[in-house]
Amino acid sequence: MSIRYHPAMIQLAKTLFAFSLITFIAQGTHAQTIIHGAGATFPYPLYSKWISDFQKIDPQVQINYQSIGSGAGIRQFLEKTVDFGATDTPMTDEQLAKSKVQVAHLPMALGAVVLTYKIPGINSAVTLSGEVVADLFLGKIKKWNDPKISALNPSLKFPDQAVTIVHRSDGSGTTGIFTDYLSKVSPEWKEDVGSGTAVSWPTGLGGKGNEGVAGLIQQTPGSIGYLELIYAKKNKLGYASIKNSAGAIVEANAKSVSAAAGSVKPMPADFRVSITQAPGKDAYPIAGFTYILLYDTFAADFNKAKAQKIMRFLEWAVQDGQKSAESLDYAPLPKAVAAQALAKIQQIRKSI
Amino acid sequence: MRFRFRELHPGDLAFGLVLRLLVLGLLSLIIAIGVMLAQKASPVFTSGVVQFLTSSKWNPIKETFGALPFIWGTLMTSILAMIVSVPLSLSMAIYLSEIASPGFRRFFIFLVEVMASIPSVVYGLWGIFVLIPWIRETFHIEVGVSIFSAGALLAFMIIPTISSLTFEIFQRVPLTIREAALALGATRWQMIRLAVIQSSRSGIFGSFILGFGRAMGETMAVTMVIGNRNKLSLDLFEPGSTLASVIANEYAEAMSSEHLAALAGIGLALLAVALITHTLARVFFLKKEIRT
Repeated sequence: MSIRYHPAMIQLAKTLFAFSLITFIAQGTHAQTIIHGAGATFPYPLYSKWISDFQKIDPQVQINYQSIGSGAGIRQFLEKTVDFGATDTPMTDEQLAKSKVQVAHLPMALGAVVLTYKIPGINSAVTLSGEVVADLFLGKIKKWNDPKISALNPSLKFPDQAVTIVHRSDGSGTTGIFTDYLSKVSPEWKEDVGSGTAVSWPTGLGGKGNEGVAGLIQQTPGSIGYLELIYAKKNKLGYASIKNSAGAIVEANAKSVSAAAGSVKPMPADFRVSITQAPGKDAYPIAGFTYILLYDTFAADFNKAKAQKIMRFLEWAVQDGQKSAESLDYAPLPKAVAAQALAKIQQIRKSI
Repeated sequence: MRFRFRELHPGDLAFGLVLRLLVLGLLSLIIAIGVMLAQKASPVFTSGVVQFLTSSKWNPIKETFGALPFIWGTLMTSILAMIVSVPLSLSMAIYLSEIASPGFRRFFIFLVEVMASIPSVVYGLWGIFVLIPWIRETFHIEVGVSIFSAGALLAFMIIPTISSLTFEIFQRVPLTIREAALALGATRWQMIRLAVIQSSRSGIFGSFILGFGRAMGETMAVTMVIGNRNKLSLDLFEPGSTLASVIANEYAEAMSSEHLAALAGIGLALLAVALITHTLARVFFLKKEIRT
């Protein structure tokens, strides 16, 4: 008996056929709109919450967000394999030039970068300034009892311990915001290293992801590194207060981060702005927007119902969604920025 | 590929054809991967292959890409792992195969096979929490993460792989060959050397290659313990980076096309390093088997 006519094989073929038939029919009866987005990992918890909350409002919509990284998100968006992209660092002019249709950046929430450390004998919050942070990361300040650090922290006694820098080994929007800040406070940093999602660090160890950095810091006495604010808060890690551009010493929290975003005037129409070293005495200096990318005008052959749903979701996100942002420790958009984003959303909607 | 056409059944013919297609398919897959990487890395080739392979500056912002730190890191960690694990796993395999009692052998080989199938991330976690502090204390270095630590961790990872494979190979040696050696007056060690190891040399070599390949391609565990510093340092106790770890770290967020091309070039370099080391190993270590 040859294998083709074996009774078990026929049974298997029948089962597979029936199953695929049922799946095919089942898909047809749901009439769901499926929206695909991909990009930054930083806002992923927030977008997940928004997606599940929005599904309660509109059960016909299913949004899939893949957190593959800002760079990959921009690439997929430009190749039109996803309906919207997401990135922490705004697209560069070089990347924008690749798109024939103009790209719109919509700010959704705010992120901040904090400096975590493990210094033997120090249990309270350390104060640092931009210049000191830059010198630390450039490798110019090699010991913790350096006078520049003691000058900012007169009440703390620092040990004679070598400084170990910890940075991100993987490309990340967090690195983008941090190096953007360092480029502003240190001309030497701007000249030698520059800013971007992945840079050539003058010194230090690399950890993969926030977890990698936090793990290395915890294991290495005398180390200092940078982390996402939300990650530090969730894991109850202590972080430094930073002297901002107005000379005030600010702790990172939702209020100081939103203040940084709100103090940038005027907000450019395309929202592509750096809000590090923002003016104002309440502003936390190391912060940045996270964006969703859309085309300014929907393509003529883009499914109109889907386009409407996307705009409805984004409209909800910049208004009602901002409340869940706070519950997840993301800093919400300042009212003025949210209003401007809403106006942009309405403008894009006209093209459907 | 000798076959006498008239003597084959249609079934055998079809079977042979399917197998040949599969082999050709696999071969073309490997070639296709190489071609795809070469295509994606072509901007790097136009700006100088030699410069890419010998420069030690990796700067995504200034868009200068040199693969030397990573080639060094991959070779050093893998060679270090092999130096440690080859004698240990051979000894373990010989002991289990020839000397251990059957009960102990069954129990221990089960353990070894479980260890060989533990996911590498788990090894990485163990490396961070146990190995690194131990290395830091024992060798009195400030920072535990380094090429040396990665090499040590890789050794732990490939010992089970090599020993379980080598054990299987030793088990396959026919009893008659062992008995022949003993009958000619060999001591136990001489019997093992002549009958077991000598006759399974190509199999042992194959298991070494698999172990070395695993060490070279290991990504997650290495990135957790190597310190991820994209600079070349000849001191093995300094942090470093490997070809696989830099791709894993930088690919998702790579923004510019030059950066992506450079990472594809790194992938191609990894493929090349694997091929070259395999060929060299074959030439130097696999002498022609003496046919009696």
